[in-house]
Amino acid sequence: MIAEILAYISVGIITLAWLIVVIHSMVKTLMAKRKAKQTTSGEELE
Amino acid sequence: MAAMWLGIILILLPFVSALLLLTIAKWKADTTGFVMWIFVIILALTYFKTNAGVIFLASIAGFIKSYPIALMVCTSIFMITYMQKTGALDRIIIAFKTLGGEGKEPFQIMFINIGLGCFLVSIGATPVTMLPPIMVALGYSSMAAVALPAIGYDPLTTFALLAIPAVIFQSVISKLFGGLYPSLAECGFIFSLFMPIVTTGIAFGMMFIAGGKKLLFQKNTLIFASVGGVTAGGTSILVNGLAKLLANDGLVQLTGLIVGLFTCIMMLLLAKIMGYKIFDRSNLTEADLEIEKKMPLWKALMPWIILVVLCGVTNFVPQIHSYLFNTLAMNIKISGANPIPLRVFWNAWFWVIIATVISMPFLGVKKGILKDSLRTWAKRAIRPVFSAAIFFSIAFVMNWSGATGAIDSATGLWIRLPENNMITLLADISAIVFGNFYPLIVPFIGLLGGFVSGSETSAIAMFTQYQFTTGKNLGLLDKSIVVLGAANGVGGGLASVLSPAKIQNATAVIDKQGIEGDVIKKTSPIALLMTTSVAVLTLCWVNRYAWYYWIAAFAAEICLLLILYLLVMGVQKLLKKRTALKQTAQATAEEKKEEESK
Repeated sequence: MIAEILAYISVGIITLAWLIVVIHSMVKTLMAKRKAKQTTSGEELE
Repeated sequence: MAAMWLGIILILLPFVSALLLLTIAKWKADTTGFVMWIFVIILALTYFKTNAGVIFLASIAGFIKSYPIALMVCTSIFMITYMQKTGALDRIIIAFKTLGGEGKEPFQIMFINIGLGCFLVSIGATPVTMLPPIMVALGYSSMAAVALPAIGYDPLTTFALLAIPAVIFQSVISKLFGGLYPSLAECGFIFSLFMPIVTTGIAFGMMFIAGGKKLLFQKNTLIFASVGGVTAGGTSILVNGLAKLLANDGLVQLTGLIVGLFTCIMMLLLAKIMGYKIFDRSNLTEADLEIEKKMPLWKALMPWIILVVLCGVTNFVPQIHSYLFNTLAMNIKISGANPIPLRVFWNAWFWVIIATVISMPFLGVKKGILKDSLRTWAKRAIRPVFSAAIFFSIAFVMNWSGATGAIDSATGLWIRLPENNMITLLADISAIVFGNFYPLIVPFIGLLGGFVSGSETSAIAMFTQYQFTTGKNLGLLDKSIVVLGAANGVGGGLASVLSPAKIQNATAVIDKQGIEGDVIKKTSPIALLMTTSVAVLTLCWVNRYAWYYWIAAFAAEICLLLILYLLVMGVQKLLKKRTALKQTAQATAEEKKEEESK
């Protein structure tokens, strides 16, 4: 019974950790893209 | 019949979209797997009328079933990260660098990429990230430095990570056969019989990648490639044959390690006979010498030495093995799925943690090394772990599709309607379309699974039940069905060299990102050639052909490949001629224009 509970918990932890990592990397990429866009438009204005 | 074909198209759709996501959108394996899982769930719920609860629980059961490989990936990344942070890994790489062989390419290629590659991958290290810098230091081009380590350990992927793919294969297929047949040693032996042809083929392929036809047809190349290939393949047969004879499953897990060591020893012996200078310190830089001074080699190797000893004890002392394997099996039952034995204290991943912890007093934990290692490990490990697990969830949803949610009181398993089961549908159509020639496509199915998931183990998890059911439909003997499953696994292993994720890791360590496409272009013909050979071997073996059929089948394969080669060469020449003609026409037109303007 304990092994079963631990197994369920481990599935939850791994999935949650993966979701955090993926969302974090997606946000990072989006921010970098936005920054690059802002820089280019800034340069164009100059 | 139309409904059957529609079903097949729908089942293939997630695989095709995964292929597109990996190759065109350049997604990573974990996110691709996640999308594929969602796709399979929608299919199972709608077209295959599967109970939603079964889909959810089967996904969890698949995830847990993946733990031998997922947690091995997780713990071996921890071990390697810790070794990297303490400087042990750099020390080991420097030791490898001194094994130069005085610029003798065939010796270097075989020793480093097949010998060391097999050894490293069996212990949980990654040749694709460790060996490219060494190859660059030895003077190989970036393309060869990435391609050779990626392809070198390929044939023995089945015995990687202390033979986890073979362990998973045995646990899946033995359950399908009712639990008693085949043993791990029997599975290992069947896998090993594929090895000589693959290892030798890969050895020659590596020579071609390194130096083209010129290097391939040199006398030394022919000797090193054939001796190295036969040694690697032959040793794996010997080890697994011995395991089968002694009924000792533990030996199977040490196959990669023994094959790596034997191949290295054989290459050294051959080099000695040919009068090569084996140890060459001229490659070492000032920085290398500084690292060499800091740590003796035995200390750097300590985690691996401890791991090998611990695996030896847990597998070769019968009382300990039986206690950890049987008494502490820790079976968990998730609703109507088959019970899953966790075997925490027998699985290699547990002993990787123990070996890392025991080696800490030798390698040191000062100056926040442990904290730093844990932080880097947390960043590196989660995506590969999830990627290893999600494909098992996909496999379980496919296997349990068509389940109504009711549980059979006699077996304790979910009741499936065969007409709504994805695997049954695939198997029925395969048996009708391919008949006795079905074994020819099995390694390519494995190749597809291995490419999509980036792992042989996942290819085994996804398609073993499919091979089993098709084998039963075709009325094959039990042993032939195991051969089908093994061929699927070998195909999955051969996909390693095509896996964008692995090639990306290799290019990153030598700062040559962007050459992945060129590497895959060079390695894919070899992978396809080897898969074709495995396919012909499987066809003859599964159908129990007489010896003259074997000769005829291989002769037909060679003729077909020759025709294909000539066709490709002809087309290439035609294209070259056409571009040359176009260029001359353009040049004359320009000259004419110039004259006219004058």
